[in-house]
Amino acid sequence: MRRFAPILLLIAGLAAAAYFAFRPPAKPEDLNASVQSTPQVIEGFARAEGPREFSFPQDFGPHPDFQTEWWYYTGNLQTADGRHFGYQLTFFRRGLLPPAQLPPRSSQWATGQVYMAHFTITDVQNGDFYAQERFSRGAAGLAGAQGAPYAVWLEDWRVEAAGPDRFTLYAAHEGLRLELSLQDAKGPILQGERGYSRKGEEPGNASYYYSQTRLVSQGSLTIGAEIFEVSGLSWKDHEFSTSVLTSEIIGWDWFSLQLDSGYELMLYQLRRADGSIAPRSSGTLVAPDGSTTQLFAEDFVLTPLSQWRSPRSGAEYPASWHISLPAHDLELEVTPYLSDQELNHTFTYWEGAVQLHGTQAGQPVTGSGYVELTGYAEPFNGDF
Amino acid sequence: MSARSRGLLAPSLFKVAGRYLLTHPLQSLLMLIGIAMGVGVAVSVDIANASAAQAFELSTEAVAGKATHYISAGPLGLDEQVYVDLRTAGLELPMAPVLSQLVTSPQLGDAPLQLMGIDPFAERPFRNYIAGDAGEDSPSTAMGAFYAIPGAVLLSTQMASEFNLSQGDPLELQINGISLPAVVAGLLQPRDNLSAQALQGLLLADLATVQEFSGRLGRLERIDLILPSQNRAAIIADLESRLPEGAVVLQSESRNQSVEQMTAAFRTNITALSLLGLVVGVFLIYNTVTFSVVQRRQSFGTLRALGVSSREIFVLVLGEALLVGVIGSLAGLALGILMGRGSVAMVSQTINDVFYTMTVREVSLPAQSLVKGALLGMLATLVAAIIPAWEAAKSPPRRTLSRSQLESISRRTLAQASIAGALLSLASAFALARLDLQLIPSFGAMFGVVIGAALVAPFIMQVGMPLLARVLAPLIGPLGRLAPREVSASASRTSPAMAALMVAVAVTIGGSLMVSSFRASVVNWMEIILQNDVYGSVAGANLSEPQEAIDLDALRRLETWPGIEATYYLRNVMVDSPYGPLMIAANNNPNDGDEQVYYEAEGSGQEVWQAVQNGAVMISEPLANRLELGLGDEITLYTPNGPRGFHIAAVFSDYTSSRGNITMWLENYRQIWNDESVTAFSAVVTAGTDVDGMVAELQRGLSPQQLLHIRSNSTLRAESLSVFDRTFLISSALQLITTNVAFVGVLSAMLSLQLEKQRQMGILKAIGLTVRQIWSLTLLETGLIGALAGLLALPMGLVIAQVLLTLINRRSFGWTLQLHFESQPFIEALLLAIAAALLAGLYPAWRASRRSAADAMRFD
Repeated sequence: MRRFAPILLLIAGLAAAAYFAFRPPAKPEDLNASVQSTPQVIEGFARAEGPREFSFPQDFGPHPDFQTEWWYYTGNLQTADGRHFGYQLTFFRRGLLPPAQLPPRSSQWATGQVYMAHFTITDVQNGDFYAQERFSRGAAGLAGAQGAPYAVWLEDWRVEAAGPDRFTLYAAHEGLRLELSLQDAKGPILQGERGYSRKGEEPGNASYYYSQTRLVSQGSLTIGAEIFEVSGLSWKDHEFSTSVLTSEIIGWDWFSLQLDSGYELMLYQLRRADGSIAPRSSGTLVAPDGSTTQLFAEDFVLTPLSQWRSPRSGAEYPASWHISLPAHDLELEVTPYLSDQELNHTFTYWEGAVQLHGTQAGQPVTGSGYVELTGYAEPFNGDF
Repeated sequence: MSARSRGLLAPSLFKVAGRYLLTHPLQSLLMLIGIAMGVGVAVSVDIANASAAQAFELSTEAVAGKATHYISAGPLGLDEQVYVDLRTAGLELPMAPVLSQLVTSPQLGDAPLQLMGIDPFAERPFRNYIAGDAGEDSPSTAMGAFYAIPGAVLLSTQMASEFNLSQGDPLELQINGISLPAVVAGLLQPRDNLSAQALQGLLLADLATVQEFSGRLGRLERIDLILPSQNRAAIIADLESRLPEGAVVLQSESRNQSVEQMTAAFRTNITALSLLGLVVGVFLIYNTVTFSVVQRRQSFGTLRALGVSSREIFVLVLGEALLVGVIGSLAGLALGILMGRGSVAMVSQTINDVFYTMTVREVSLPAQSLVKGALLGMLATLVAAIIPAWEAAKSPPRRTLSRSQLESISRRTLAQASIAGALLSLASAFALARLDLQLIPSFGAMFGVVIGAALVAPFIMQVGMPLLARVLAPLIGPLGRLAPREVSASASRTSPAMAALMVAVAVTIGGSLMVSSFRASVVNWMEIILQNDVYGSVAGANLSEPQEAIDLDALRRLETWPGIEATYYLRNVMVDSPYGPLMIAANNNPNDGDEQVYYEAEGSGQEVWQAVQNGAVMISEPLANRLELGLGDEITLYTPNGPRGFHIAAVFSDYTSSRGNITMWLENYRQIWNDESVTAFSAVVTAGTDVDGMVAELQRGLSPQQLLHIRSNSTLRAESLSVFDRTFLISSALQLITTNVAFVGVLSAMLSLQLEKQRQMGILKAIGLTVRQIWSLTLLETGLIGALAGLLALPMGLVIAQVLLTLINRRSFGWTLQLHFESQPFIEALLLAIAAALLAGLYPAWRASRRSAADAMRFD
């Protein structure tokens, strides 16, 4: 589970706020039905109410019946001489109206979909963190997603299928350019209960969620005048939902960790305003053969070890953790490659490359991964 | 005199000044009115100009935003894929697609509005006036509607409250005469006042909505770009290599420059006219100050004897004038602000009729206009008062100047002024005739001629009046001798008033003669170019250059309509060119060659039209002047197949647009631009058909969906002329005010004169002049002044008209006009001068007649 819907809810909302400002309607009863004031979650979108059958490659593509969807690529890359980089390329989709409620239109530009994308590069050696944000309508070919053949794109930022279990990833902005080919070593990993990931007690407070946890990556990264040949591991999350979180959740800590033992670990915990952890916090341990073990809140202990305060937002984030999975004999210390990997665009959150070391079944283990921390600068709730 | 005593004396001196103003309230008041009116007119026109200029800038800013360049591909616009391809090519250049459409709405006052189709996600770098503070509620709902709901539009909160609309209200839009249902999806809360003004007259909608409403599916009007200043040429070359044939990268400014230049010329014209009011005011001030000096020649002599330096006298007189100048200027500012609203309405109406669609809803009150106005008023006062102040300062100590001495000094001054004036007039006339002056110097030279003549006028009066006495005496007796001699003898006080009246009347003659000549030219021209019986275009479209496409079905029906013998089509359209956007008027009327007035042409009308059918074009005179192109030159236009030169076979007269247009053969236009649209039609009815009945029939039956405006030949002419007349409303208003200022001047002069002559009147009464004779004498005097001013104004008016017609119009709007001589303006002006002068004489006459002889003689 990761990157909850508030981000998506904010896409349209904040993008709109950034460009337009609207006055509250004076008399709601006068409103034309088509522009009727609606709650944030518009009735008519499908909800995740139980396990569903996934079918690939169709399910790589978009699910417009659900209001919110994202394709999240993160990865840790290295040059031959060991210079380390992290990257994030994320596409968010937000449905403005349920497909059935969209009036027929003749213009190609008319749309019920808005896309946002984030692209970041972490240059560990130079201590640089670059982050870019883009918006577009999901129409006229400017942005979109499709299942077969798989592609998701916003302008020239793009990930697409390039053969069986192979993908290419491309993003560039202001002197940064990342071109990768991705080879999926394990195939899609269904999170939660066969891809049905519950986030709360109420029915429908859930998402559909699968990952590709070990994408062997190779390609080039350009930063300014320098071009680096890089290789490493990427992780993809794809999640769609309509309403997932209850308003008591102010944010979450999310981990995607790739161990050199061939295991991957996904963990998240949902935080309440009083600092307590919601019971639906959970995770998945993926074995080298692709078999998965679902983890529940009682299966792991997540202990922050230090703090980092952002000079820009003033938010204080946990900066290293001890993760303990007693039942699996797994003890890990997780440390960011760089303290400052905070994004300050339409909304503020921390998403960065981390390194890890510890023991697994008594053997030393190392690895890398990505961590996402939300709700520290501003609560990510209330929109549900 | 020690510094200390000077310091003591100075305040008391100013008390003297203040007291004089207070004890002569009527003169002070008139002078005040003169300055106030002069300043008021200048300020109101400046406000109108500033408002118009600001509205233009804002609407430009609103539409172009921060774009430096744009990609355009002619009348049919660009394929939307061009934008998608550029956007996904990773160029990292700010670019924004735009598709706009003129709309009106009965719910928004039926004024033309720009419906601008945009992609909000691409907008941020361009038109930040859209940005505002986020409202309390989440805008995502409205945003959803903006993208997803057809017909969703946004308008500013100001417009919404002005027209009582709120979010969610249905809104009826008229596009190309077709009514379409829209909905207010949201209100734009502008960040600041400037953004608010930019949003006036603008509706925003998603590109999809405008594509659907305008019927231009798959098309964009242009792509706005912000190009970095470095490496621009290379970037443009790279962009153009990615564009389909016919699409070009153009500079944003060029889109507005030509319009801006045109309106600037128009604004210069009315500014010049408004300054004439002030010039007339200067004479008035001069007159009043001179009089006050003359009246106090004795007391100045005494003051000098008391040890007051001539410098202090100078300062005293100047200070007095300046005091009135300051108060008058302040009153003028207030008056200007009051009149501003009216002049803004007139100026924007003219701009709308003649130049472009613009909404000036707000009268901006630029501090600059007010400061300029106040400075002008005070400067005018200083200029006008400096000579009399200097005269006063020259008063020898303790010696009373006799009237005769004074008049002889004045006579000398008059002679000198006349020579200077004559030289000024001649030099200015020479400059006008021989030098190729630009607009502002042309106006300067015209002012030179007028002011020079005004300086000569008093001399003529002084010399001419005694001669007149000889003529009048035998006719009407002693009064006939007395009155002219009196006028001549008191030239020092009457001449400025006479000169002021002359200038005002000359301007009136010049102005009306120009307008009537212009009107006559337009009437003659319409006679030749409007040969058909019925004319039609989309309702609400511009009268002379309709650019909205007519439903092709309607045209097909028209062709076979019973009673219609022939139909001709016109396509008016803006195309891009290296000179900026230009208007093409393409028609398929085979007789058009004979239905033109040629400025210059290669052969006969038919030959020219043959050449045009073979691919040449003809351009209107304003365009030829603006682009400095002429017969035989090539004019380059951007076509879908790239730039192409067109041979210019003729330059024709045209008064529809000072921007100018290019006439070409419709078939050629269609072939080159692949555009079948028709924006106007004309038709010939079969002989014997009732044209008005046919118009009504067509209006009812031609197009059920699209509202067309169909006019008969005579209606079209009448409408055109009413637009013409509306255009000159502001100049007539300014002329009227100038005349009023002059009237105040004459009144003030007469009043001063009669005041001065009270003693003389007493004597005249004492020796037996009846009240009736006093009346006659006074009115005869003023009447003579008026008549002389009027007579002298006649040639002057002719000169002004000639300059306006041949120089100013050509410089400002690019067309030359022929002087069309009419006696009416002259007769009217002469009567006006005499009437004004007589009217101004009424009060002094009444005053003079009322006083008893003894009373009057005691005065002084």
